[in-house]
Amino acid sequence: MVFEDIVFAPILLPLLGAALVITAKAFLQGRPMKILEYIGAFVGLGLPWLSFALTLPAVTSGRVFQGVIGNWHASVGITYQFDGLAWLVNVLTYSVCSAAWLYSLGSGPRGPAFTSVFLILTASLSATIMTSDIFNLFVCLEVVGISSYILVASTDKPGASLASFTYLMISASAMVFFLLGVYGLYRVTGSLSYQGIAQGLKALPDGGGMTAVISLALIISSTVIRVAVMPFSGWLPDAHALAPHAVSAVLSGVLIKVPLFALSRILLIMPVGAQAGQLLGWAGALTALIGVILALSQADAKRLLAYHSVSQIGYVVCAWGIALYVGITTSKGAALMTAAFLHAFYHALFKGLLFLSVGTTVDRAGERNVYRLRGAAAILRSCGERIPVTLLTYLAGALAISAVPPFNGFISKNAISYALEGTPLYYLLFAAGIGTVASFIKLSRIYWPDRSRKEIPVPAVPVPLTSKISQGGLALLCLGGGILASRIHSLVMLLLSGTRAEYLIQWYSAGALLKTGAVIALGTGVYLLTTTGIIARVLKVIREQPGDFRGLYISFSIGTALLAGWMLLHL
Amino acid sequence: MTIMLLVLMLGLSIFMLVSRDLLFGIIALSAVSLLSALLFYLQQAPDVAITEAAVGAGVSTVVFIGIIRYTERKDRDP
Amino acid sequence: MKQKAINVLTIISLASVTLVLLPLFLENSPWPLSARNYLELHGVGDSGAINLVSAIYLGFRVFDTLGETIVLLTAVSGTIGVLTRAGAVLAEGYDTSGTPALTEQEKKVIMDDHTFTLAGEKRRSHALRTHLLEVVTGVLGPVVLLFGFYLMLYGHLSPGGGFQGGVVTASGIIFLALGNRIGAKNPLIRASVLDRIEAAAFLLLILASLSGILMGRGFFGNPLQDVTAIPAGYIILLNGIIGLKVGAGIGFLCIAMVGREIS
Repeated sequence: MVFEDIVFAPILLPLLGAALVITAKAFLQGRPMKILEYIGAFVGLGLPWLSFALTLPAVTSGRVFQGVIGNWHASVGITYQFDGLAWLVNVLTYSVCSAAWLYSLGSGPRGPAFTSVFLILTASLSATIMTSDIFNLFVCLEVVGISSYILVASTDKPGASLASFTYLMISASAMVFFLLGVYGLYRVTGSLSYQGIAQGLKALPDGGGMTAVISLALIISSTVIRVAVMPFSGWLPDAHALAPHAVSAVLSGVLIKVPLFALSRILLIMPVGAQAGQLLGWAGALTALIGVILALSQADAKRLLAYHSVSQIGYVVCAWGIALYVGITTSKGAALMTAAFLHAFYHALFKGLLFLSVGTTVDRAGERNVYRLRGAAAILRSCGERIPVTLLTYLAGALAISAVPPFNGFISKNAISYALEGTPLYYLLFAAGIGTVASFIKLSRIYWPDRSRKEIPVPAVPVPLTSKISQGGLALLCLGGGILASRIHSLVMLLLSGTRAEYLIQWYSAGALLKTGAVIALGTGVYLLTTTGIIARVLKVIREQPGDFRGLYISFSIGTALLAGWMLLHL
Repeated sequence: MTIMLLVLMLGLSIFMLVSRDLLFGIIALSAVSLLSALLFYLQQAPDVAITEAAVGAGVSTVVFIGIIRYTERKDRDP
Repeated sequence: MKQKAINVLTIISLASVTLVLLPLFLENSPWPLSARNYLELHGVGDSGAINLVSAIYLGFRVFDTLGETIVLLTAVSGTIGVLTRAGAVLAEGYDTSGTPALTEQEKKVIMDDHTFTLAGEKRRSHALRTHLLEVVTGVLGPVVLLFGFYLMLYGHLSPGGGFQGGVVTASGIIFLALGNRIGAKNPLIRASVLDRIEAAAFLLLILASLSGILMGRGFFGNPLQDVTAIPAGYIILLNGIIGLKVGAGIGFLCIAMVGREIS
């Protein structure tokens, strides 16, 4: 047993935990089954933190754990690579998954069936970011997909199964295109590992020609559909809004980000990856703006949060795409990639927090419509919360997403804007920020006192302790991210690109605070505008457009064709 | 031989897509799997042929017939 | 109007996808030989299996096999979970906004015909049942099971392997379930037994993957590589475990879909 084997702990330990939980379900009953289930969950979600602590010194010193799984020859085996990026994404995954599982103990779906699939999801997310082989990426994305379809459907609420089915259909069809892309790359190079493919393409006279570019376009678009940038985001609002609350937190927090960072491993070494990054950067910025306009028009609380996920992932993809375009070795590229990861991490934390706290609220109040629900603060108090934990954690999340200091959203959004200063993308993201503030004021209305004094019959179900613990933990992490900004930023930059920032970013400078104030003021103005008659009618029309199943396929095909065309133009 | 099998598979797939009675469609799907197993054998890939025959013509058909037993046998009018 | 727009867009998207995929299939450069040559020269020696396909998916790329096994496991358990829940929800006739609640008559129809029950509960049958099914499948069942085990255990020498053997074993289990004479107690078609086989096999698979680490060969390394003269022993073990797991899982799914006792 050598020290290098510890990098497999994030994959193996959840699988071992899942195997223990499945054995518990098949062989035991009642109390022993529950005890073994909790042991399995601890092995799967708690012990990997030890491996992160042990590998941190190695990855900060720039060491990359590479090799072939099973110690076979590199031309036929599966290569893996555990470096700073993998470490950071693993920390993101495990923090949100642990908090969500703790929450589900109290209020969400319970039981060994749920826990085992949840642990398998966590293991496959770790495997996705660590792999360096394109067929293994396919297998890992399949495992991620199938466990998330099951988790979305694991509730009795109406509509969840249909949302899961839609998500399944479009994802499975996209995976067929992924396989075709893998076939194309193998056809011209004869290797399946990233390094082997890159070397093979360089050795060819025309760099692989049209086949290599089209294969890469297919792989990119099949992965990007899981990331849900427009035009690929049709499946996300239904799936995230109708899933159980813990599952929504994991979906919005982790599942739409890990494929993006796994894709960056491929695009960094392939020929036309930089141009693809540019197109995706622009798509991301437009997604940020359009997503927030759609979010502003929603009536269901969780659908509003789901559309916000689309908008915020647009921020991340914008920064990530432009980072790939300018090259990660330049200082601007390193700053952008750091900002992209920081926003992804912080968004996972505060979006998870929002889903959990809003979920607790709508469960207690029995109503999800933002226009009809009022007085939730009083309802939560009558459910036995003397210290209003849920209300305070919701406020932490809402302030974080609106980029108010000293929460972490302020830091990451400013990092992105700072790095993109001077380009038209900056203004698109600024407008999206205004819309975010407006829609969160709209969502916060559910907590205001009920002026009509209508009696909503509520079952006074107390808020479980585990929900309070997980929400509180996430809120503290949000606050910590804002306070310890500089240290986290330099650590992330070191891990991602091996460089340190040339200058120290002044987070709390006068300019940044003035900008925040302007955004909040304009956001309040936009919110007041939406309560007027005309704008409210426009939003209603937007809200009531029926979704079409075929629309998902049409947007996927046309998006893929546009991406392939753009990449072929720059051949 | 290969071309004939491929044309037959294409025809059966189109029939499966347009058929209104779902049971006929499932049998067509099973026939497509069987023909592709034969195709794999002709291309000298026996392991894949065994898997395709057992899964496509066997297990998958059983699961689909179980499905239409619990739902409906005929397609609804659009 | 909207329908026409969607039809036009559908045709455009199909055409664009075809255009994108066409150069992929028209590629005519020579096939790359690096991986193929390596396998021809070293495949048998490195892994100990004469069947190179087994050597690939249980030796060189065994991590992918683990992933696919997990996909199967999750799919089966998830399907059973979703179906049982959907059956219970349908039976209660919950009232979504807009659809009227079900009448008593409709509820009874759903309970009798559409409710999903796991193996072990009697269901009414609508069709005539002859003895042909019992005779043919009941007698053939054990033969197919035997063939499945043969495929599993000889996978490294002749075409076959864990997945193939497992699926054929599952077909054998379906035969046994269909041909089951009333009153005969066959433990192989009880849901609890199949559940336990699947769970134990999955645990053994994860422990087998860890054994490589303990023997110093890395994750999923062959622990018998340097120790014994038969490195293929590891492949036989993995074949057996995967075959049991796949067979039990798929058998469980099919029995649950078909329903065991059709009296």
